[in-house]
Amino acid sequence: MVKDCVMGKTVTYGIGGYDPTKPNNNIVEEIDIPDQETE
Amino acid sequence: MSDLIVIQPTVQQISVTEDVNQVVVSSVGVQGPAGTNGTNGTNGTNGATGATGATGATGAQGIQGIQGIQGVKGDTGATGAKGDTGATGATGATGASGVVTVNAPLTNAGTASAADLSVSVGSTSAAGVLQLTDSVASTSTTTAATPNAVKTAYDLANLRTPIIKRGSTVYFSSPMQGNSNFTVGNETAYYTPIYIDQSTTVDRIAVRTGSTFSGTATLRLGIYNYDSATGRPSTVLLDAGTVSATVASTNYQITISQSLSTGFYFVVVCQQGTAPGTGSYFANTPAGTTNNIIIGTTTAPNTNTIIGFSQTSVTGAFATASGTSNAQQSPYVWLRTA
Repeated sequence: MVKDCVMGKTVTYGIGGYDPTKPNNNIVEEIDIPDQETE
Repeated sequence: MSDLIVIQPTVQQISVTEDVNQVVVSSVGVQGPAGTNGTNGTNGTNGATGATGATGATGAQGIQGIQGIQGVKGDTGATGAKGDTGATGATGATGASGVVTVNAPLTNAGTASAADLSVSVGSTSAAGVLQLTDSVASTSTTTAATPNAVKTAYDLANLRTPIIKRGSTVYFSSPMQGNSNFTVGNETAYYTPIYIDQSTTVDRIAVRTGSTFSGTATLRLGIYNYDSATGRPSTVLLDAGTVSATVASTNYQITISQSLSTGFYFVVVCQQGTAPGTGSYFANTPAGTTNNIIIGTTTAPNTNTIIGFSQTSVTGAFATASGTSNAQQSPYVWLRTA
């Protein structure tokens, strides 16, 4: 089993999810998450 | 000098003075009639009110009044004193002996005529008096809990937390062993059971793409109610909408505001529409290595372990679940508390 660290990301949509009629398709936040372990 | 003197009629007087060479005769006419009265003058302005006069002197004493009417008749006099006690009467005849009859929970340790009563101790089979206790650990069947003991037990019950919290925000997800890239069936819904240990409100629902994911995928997320009769998902509690996944190893979550009471639910994810290049998602390892401990099975755990349920041909908005099958692998999904 090999573990390594990769950069992850979280994309957050507003209420109702994807909506092309809203700014940025209703994506309200995008943040990077370091140190995601994978095998 | 004139030697003519003309005397006018009605001359009343002629006067001559010494050494006067001239006599002037004048006459006075008869008094004329009285003239007409003149017009009355305008009334003058009223004068200012005069100052109040000084108080007059005290008058003389009045005349003595008339004699008053005769007074009302007086009240009746008080009652006279009580008379002396009469003489003691003769002794009466002797009465019959008394009889005491008692019923449970009363008992009589004496006799019918000389009772010695008490109340029996109660039990689960007989009524009676019980000793109160504050204990919350006693197994006695002959004592009764005080409200204080009940509250202690109630407070302890409220503190039960089957979910071990690791921070102020709690994530509810299914048990998972290992992880792998799981390529899902397009338009297949994957239902993962979760247990909510106490009433709460969740504000995020999420799924994570696998490290080999590529392309663009439409993922619909939601929450289903649990059917206690079948142990499977039933009606839709929440259709949270979709996310558009385009990046590998990324959490995609939707903001929600859903209250949940204690109990089981299913978190569902379904890849819909055009399938991406590689629709792989962060998931448990394949069948045979992961068993969901909150799904009861009718046979001993073996290679047919299950992680949840799945349903094919799910398009558009979520509807009541039907035709679900056991799933041995499922995308990792979770809910976050508010």
